[in-house]
Amino acid sequence: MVAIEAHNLTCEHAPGRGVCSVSLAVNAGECYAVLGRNGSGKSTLTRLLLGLEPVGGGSLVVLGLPVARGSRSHLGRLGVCLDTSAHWEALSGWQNACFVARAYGRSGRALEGRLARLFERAGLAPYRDEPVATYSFGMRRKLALVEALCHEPDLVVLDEPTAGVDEHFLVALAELLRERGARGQTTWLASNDVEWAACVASRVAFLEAGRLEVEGTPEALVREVSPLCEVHVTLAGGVRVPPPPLEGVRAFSQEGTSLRALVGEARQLPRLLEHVGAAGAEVARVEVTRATLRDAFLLKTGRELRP
Amino acid sequence: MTPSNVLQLELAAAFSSRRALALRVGVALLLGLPFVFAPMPLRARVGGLCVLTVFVAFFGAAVGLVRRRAEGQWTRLALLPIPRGVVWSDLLLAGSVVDLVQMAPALGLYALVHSRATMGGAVLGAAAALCASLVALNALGMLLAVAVQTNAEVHLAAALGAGALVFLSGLVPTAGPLAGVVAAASPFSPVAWLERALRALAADPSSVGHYPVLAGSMPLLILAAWVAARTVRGPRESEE
Repeated sequence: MVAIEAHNLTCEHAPGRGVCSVSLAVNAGECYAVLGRNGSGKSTLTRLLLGLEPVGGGSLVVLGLPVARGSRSHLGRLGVCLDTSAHWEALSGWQNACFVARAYGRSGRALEGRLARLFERAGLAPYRDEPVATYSFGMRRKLALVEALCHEPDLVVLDEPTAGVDEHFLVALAELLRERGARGQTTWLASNDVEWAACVASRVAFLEAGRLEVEGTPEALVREVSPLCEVHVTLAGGVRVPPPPLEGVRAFSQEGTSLRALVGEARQLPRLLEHVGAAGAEVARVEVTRATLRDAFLLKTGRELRP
Repeated sequence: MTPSNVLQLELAAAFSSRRALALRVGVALLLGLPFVFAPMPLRARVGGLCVLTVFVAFFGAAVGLVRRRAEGQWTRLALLPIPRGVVWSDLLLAGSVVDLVQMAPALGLYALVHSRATMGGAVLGAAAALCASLVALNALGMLLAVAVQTNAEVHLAAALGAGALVFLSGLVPTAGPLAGVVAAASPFSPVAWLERALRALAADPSSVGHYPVLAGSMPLLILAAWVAARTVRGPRESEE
């Protein structure tokens, strides 16, 4: 089942700004990440999904319902965390989250239990009864993410979810999104945090100047840059290591105590190290480098996506 | 309290901090006290309290809503599966209730010190006029907030709007062709409703009969019932 389907979707605020002829399909259960630089159109595309922007051309269907500006019929099945996290500051985080969940028709002990677990995983449990006015920026972002997830929506729409939150919560959020995917629930992610997106997304799309440049699984996009891993071994002593007669090692060089090898897959590494040891060399340090989604973005768009 | 609807949310937020509530009520009371106790003509006394009400309800609603739009609260509410009409009516009711709490001490003191009314109808009429005025002024403030874009714009427009409301209600004596405009507009001005009710309360209780107490009290009762129902309302659905 397709959760989001766009055909030639266009919404231009000004020439070159906004979204231009975007076509994509996101299946139910997928975590689909749209990556791009600031101003590339990620937020506009996200706001189009929510019915907050006028559709200038093309069509958009979300959860089987056509979406245009002002569409509200699909909102009941959505969870939303935009890049601004507005709350009722005088009320506690718990009161804010309860209000949101109740707006989606959730209540009772099941809701309280789920909220308590989410607060725990977000590290907000000790502060749940404190006014949001006392929360830090990161805590507010976490609360907004808890509110987006608390009612188990069919589709959760997250705009820059990693902004301002700590690494610990990013790991927990990635787990939560994977659990959602396993339940067949869909996640839409707009971000410029390439590393985190590569960890959680089942498919990613690169957006540049409002146009969808390429999409695919993170692994496939990285493989297109280079399927090889670069292994850099620093030796403790100046032992000469002969080129390893191993299948999968594409290149090998040594300069003093520094060995460099290009291997097809990281699993070649133990055999390579065995070979180095067999030559009588002691390994001081090993570094494995491979192409990243950031490199893939550069390759496909010709522009660098900086952290 | 865990709010179940926008009205409960707004009221809980407004009354959650004793300090904020004391400031709200205290400032209105402080500004209203001279018009209660200082020697001045009744017209000036009532006019001052009406202008204060305009600034609390109309100006406050407009400026507050624009600030909240800038903070992203409008978008937050727009993305929830709550009908827009319900959201806006809850915001209107909440704003009116908060303004009522804010203005009640100053106007209550005025009634205690200056009322010569012996009929319950006069007091009920004044209360109805106050509620109707607050709801109408809040609604006008919200309309203004929708129409303007920025914080600077709303301050300018709300100040102009407040001046226009005060002028068209007949609080300021006018002559010539403008007097005709004021005479035509004042029956529709919520400020004029309040002004007449407050003057009637103090000057001539028999004049209460000149404005429709019953017509005023019916919306008051409906409003009170609606607010009460929304305030005690529980979640829309029970256990999942």
